[in-house]
Amino acid sequence: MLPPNESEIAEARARLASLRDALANVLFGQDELLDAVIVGLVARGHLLLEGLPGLGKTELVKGLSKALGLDAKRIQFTPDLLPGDITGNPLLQEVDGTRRFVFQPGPIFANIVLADEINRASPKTQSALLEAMQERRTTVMGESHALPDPFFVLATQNPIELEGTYPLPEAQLDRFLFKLDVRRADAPTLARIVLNREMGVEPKVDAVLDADTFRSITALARRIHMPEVVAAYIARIVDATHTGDATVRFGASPRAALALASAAKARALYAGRLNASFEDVRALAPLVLRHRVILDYTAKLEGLTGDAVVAAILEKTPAGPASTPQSLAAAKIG
Amino acid sequence: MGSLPSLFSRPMNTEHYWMRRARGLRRRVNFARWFECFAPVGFGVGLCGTVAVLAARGAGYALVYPLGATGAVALLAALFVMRRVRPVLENDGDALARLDLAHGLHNRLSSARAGVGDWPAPKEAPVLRWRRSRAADLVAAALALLLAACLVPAGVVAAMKPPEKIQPPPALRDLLAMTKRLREEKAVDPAALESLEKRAEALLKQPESAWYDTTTMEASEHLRDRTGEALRDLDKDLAALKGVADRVAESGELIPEELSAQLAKNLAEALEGLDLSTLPPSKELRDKLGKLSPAAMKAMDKKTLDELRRTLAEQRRRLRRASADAKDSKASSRKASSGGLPVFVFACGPADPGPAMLVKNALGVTASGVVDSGLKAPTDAERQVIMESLQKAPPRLYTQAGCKPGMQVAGIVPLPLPPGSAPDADDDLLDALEDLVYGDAYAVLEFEPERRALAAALAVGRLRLLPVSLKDCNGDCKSGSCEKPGGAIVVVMGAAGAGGPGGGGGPAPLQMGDKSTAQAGGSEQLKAGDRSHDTLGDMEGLTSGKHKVDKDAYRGPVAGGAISSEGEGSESVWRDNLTPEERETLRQYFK
Repeated sequence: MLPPNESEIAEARARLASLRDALANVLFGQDELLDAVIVGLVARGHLLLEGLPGLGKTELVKGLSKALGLDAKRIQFTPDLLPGDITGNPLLQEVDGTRRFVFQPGPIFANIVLADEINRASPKTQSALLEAMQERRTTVMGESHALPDPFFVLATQNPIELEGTYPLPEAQLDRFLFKLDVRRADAPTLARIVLNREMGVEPKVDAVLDADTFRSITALARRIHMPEVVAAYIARIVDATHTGDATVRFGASPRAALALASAAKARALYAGRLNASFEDVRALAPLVLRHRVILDYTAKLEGLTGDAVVAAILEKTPAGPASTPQSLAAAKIG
Repeated sequence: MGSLPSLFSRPMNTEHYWMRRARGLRRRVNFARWFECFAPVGFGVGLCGTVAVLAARGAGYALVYPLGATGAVALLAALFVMRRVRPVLENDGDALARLDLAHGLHNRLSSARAGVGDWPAPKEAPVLRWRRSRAADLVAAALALLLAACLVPAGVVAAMKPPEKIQPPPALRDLLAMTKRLREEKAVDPAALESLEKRAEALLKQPESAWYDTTTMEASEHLRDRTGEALRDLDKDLAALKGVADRVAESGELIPEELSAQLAKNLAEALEGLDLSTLPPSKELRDKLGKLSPAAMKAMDKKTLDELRRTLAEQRRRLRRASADAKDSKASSRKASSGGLPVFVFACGPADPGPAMLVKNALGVTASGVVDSGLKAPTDAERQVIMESLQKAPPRLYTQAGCKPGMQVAGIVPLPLPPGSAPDADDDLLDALEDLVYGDAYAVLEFEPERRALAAALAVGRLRLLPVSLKDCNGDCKSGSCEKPGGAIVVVMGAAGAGGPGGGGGPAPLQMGDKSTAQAGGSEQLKAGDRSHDTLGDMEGLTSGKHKVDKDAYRGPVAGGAISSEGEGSESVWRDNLTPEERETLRQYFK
């Protein structure tokens, strides 16, 4: 796989910048979130958005589908939702005088699927997403159906309501590239929202990319160079999540390392660089690993979070070579 | 066209620049990593080296050996540590990553090395700098210890050698050697020798720690000396027997009655001496000699008599060979004691046969040429001092020496002494003198080795005169044999003895001088002197000073200036009318 050239990188960067600008008109004051969402999509990853209601998660997904010119569908997860309600059901129909089952695609057959409040569905229903998210196809009654390309799942969940919810299983969590915290905006941003939005009126978003262009950009992201030292750094970080102490029951999987590498490449492309870097890894490691580190219940009782564990791992895992001898100190570079 | 070189050269130059920096950084990091692993080992090597240097300096070895060994060990340790840290050493890629991080290049250097993208423009800022660390402290401490071990003052101590096996005391060794020689030479009776060996072994069987006790050393010396004396007595008796045989052989059948009686007497005395000796000759020889008499000798044919004489001579030679060790030890002690000082022997008696023969007779020596009249005679001053001392000598001494008023003093003859030092000195004479010198009357004079100091020593009254009884002897004095008994006085002048193990035989070697000369940085003069043989009237020394008189002592109650009582020494000054409380108060006040 040939590395991209400068012009390809520059063009892709410009297009992604226009996408970001388009999304910035939808979601005010969430620049970091927008960057993370774009990077995640470029990395062809699924995103889990966690935040309180009314912060613009659905608006973000809608605006994203419009800006990318992609088909988007929304699924409101409820406890009585069935897997067939997501994947689709075979219906008995009479065609040409014969009756047979005809598959009726569910809402999952879209480029962007917004799984709203995904943790309210039963594990059985949640598991309907597993095959779709990993293999980008669904199997109903022994018949596989390919999902459209690109295919993204952007799920949301409310962190404050526990009653009537079903926490996502580890296997499900592992299929989300990022877990993003959607935070409320500050007062100036709220003022801007009040001035520029109307209740019940969707913002107008122009399509800045089409599906083919976006696919080419995601393909370009895969060609971003990954230096060996950066790959080694990713490996050390993921390996460090297996702390071996009582705080972490299970560390991140190799899929997490792949996800982190893909995200680092996407971020490098988003930044207009030919290669991934230590900085990319450090910036994305919390988003990739925070939901993949399974904490012990005692650690949870003590208030320890995945973010804290990942931050500690990054703190004690230096970028670059493993360590610096004590006889040497970093010189100040002006 | 002129811009082409710059277009092509820049990437090459920047790659060269960054790779050169990467190599330098790699070397620095790898050295630091190796150094930190080596430091504890190096510190241990330094400690061992310090000990080795101190030990070598203490033992007197050159520093190059411990330092060289320490360096070699340090080199081996360095290689070992290098082998251990090799897996964690960094390569150029790691160094480029460090440069990427330090300069915020987002891994452009790593990518450029992989052929992705261009090399960034050079940046000169250093990435890592040295700083003080524990490893540096350890190595510095090790070097400081080594340097200190090389420079601190340290005396040479004796090398750590295993303690040598304790040897028996010299006297006991002499005795054992003597018994061994006696057994080899078969010079004495085996039964008597066995008894002697048992006594020596009894001393030897004591614990080694007790060998050098005063009692053991005294016993050893006593046993050795007594054995030597017994051997010498045996030799003398054998010599007397041989003398008798010689006279019989010389006289043939014409032995005067008087001489025959004398020979019989001498023969009886010699045989009695053999019977009483603690180390008699073999039983066969005793039996053979016990049948002898002048008449029997006279009846012997010449061949038998010559055989007897050879037997006696051979027995004497055996004795001399066997007792050579004992004589050597005595001679060495004589040398040490006399200090190479002259010894004069003179005798008083009839003018004829002359002083030399008198001395010979006095010492019981019959061998000719023992007294060498050609030796250097005392100077006139020495002679005068000696004669005056003789005249002042107590009458007891004269009597003991056989000198009588009116008897002519034969003369002063210097002997080839110090004993053992003269190559021509005869052992018989030396043995005879030895008895005199090491007898109870042995006197030691403080005496300088210079002859001129003799007069000074004699002038201060430190002449020691030893009376010697002349042996009765018969013969023609004119022909060299003394016929009449006489006396002799041996003047022995020697240096201070070293003192024996029991305190006898010499004075304590060092005494303080009469007047202290001790000063700061100086030394106290010491002198040696033997007071054990002082006679009445000898002055031990003078001391100048005043009696300590208490001038303020209470001299009794005084009324109106009149002294009623001058009091006496040690009288109490307290008045009787003082109460005990007052008395105690005064006592406490004047305490």
